[in-house]
Amino acid sequence: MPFILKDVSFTYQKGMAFAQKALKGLDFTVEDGEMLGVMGAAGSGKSTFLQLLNALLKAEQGYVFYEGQDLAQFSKKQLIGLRQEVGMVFQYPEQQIFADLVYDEIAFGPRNIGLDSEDADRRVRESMQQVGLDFAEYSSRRTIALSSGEKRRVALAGILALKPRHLLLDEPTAGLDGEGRRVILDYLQHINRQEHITVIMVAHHLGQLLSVCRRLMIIEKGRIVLDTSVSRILDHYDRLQELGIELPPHLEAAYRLQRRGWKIDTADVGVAAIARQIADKIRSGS
Amino acid sequence: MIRLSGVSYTYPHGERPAIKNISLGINGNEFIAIMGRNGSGKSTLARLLNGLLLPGQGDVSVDGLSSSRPENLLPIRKKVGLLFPDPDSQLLANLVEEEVAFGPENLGLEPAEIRNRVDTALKMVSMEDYIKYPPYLLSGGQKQRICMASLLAMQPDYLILDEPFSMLDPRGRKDLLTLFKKMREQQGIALVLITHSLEEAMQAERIIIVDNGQIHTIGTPADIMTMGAQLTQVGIEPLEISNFIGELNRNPGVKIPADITDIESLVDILCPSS
Repeated sequence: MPFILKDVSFTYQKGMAFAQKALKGLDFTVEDGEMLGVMGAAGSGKSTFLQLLNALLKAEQGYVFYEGQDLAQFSKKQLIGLRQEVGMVFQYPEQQIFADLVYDEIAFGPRNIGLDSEDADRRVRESMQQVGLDFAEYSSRRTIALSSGEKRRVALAGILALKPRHLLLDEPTAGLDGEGRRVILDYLQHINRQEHITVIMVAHHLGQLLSVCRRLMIIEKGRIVLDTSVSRILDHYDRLQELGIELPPHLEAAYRLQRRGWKIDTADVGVAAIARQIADKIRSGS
Repeated sequence: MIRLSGVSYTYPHGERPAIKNISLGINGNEFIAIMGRNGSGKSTLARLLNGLLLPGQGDVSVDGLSSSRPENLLPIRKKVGLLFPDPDSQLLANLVEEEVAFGPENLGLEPAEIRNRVDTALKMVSMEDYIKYPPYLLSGGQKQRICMASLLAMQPDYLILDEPFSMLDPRGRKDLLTLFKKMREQQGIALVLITHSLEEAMQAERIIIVDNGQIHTIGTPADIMTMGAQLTQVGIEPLEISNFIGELNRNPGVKIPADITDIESLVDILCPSS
């Protein structure tokens, strides 16, 4: 298990006038290869949670274990290793792009960890391919002239070039158009399913999270208020209502049809799977 | 009214124009949404509306004041408030209240009036508990709310909101959109909402789709939502409910009307017995 949190609390500006408790007594485990979506209101503690996992922030109380080891005990050298294994993509990562050329931006990480230019080159090519950026077309383009969707993919490729085993993402699709969102979400699903990289992503759109994640967690005021496998999401219908979170239309419809006596299996929450079952019912005239 | 006549704009060193020959009128009490893919020219258009960018060709005027005359720029910017998508690029003060007071102070208002505007604006965006906080201690979504309060404290006649909700949760989005709509009704301000969410844009009176620097389509929400595959071509994701209906209709023997927007009507069609 890569991450275990035990009774973790975190306060910003502790002991100061603006002390603010961001997380309270979190107990939580993430398995290898999971794909977890995290939701919550502004200021609920989502970003704090992510930053605890790669030790950008240290738990003020309780323990964060990575691969069974207490992060609080990590040496500086171990922390560098940790941050290669646990990649972090911040909100609006394209703002952190600094190199003039796409190639140099993505090669920065591999070069920085001491890879020779041949190995670094291989990493750049691989990670560009993973995010759907054609090497010939993009590698010598200027980063400043890219669209925001393209920049987002360059920033992501820069993280992937470090070959993380686990990937933490803070709102990876914010500000992207429909096409850009789809590319990023499909890609994250791909690296999770095909390459078994653990993906933990914060996002605000339940439909998007359900379309790619297997587990969903909701944080409210520093506490976990929902933690469920995506296939059981409708079991928590009332809870979601209380939290003011709307289900995507196909699941809302499935729920209401179930209430009218229809048997619909929602273990697969995909739009196509739900639509097919409803169509079958209509045809069989039930 | 904001009037654009034959407006084109090319960024310095830009290879091609970001905005090409756009003519458009925005009424003083209108709610319009602007949509289009990343890089289509939406944000450039927003910056032209308040004189932050000046057209290379054509003219932009706000209530008759042309942005081509330097002496008009200050009055234009008082009238037209512009909110950028990224809060970190527009926060500058050490405390939330200083941040929100910055605009009104620059308008030369009385201290009591400034205090009043700051308190009211923070209350409107539900951030009154953070008045003495440094903005950098706030979350992304909270910062977006502070930026909105700063804009509201200026009491502009036109609000140009460039993806104002990108870091907010669904409930926060809904609350703030409701707030803006109420302000429009009560104070008669105009709203221009730039968004990638057709769900949000559906609340507007008109939707403008920008593609490749030009106006691709102007229509009512009802017109736009039924554009089908054309929407995807201009980088817009159809409504989630339209996607679902499309998926239902893919199955032989199922034909659900494409213009349904609420779930209960859909469920009634699917299961009319009850």
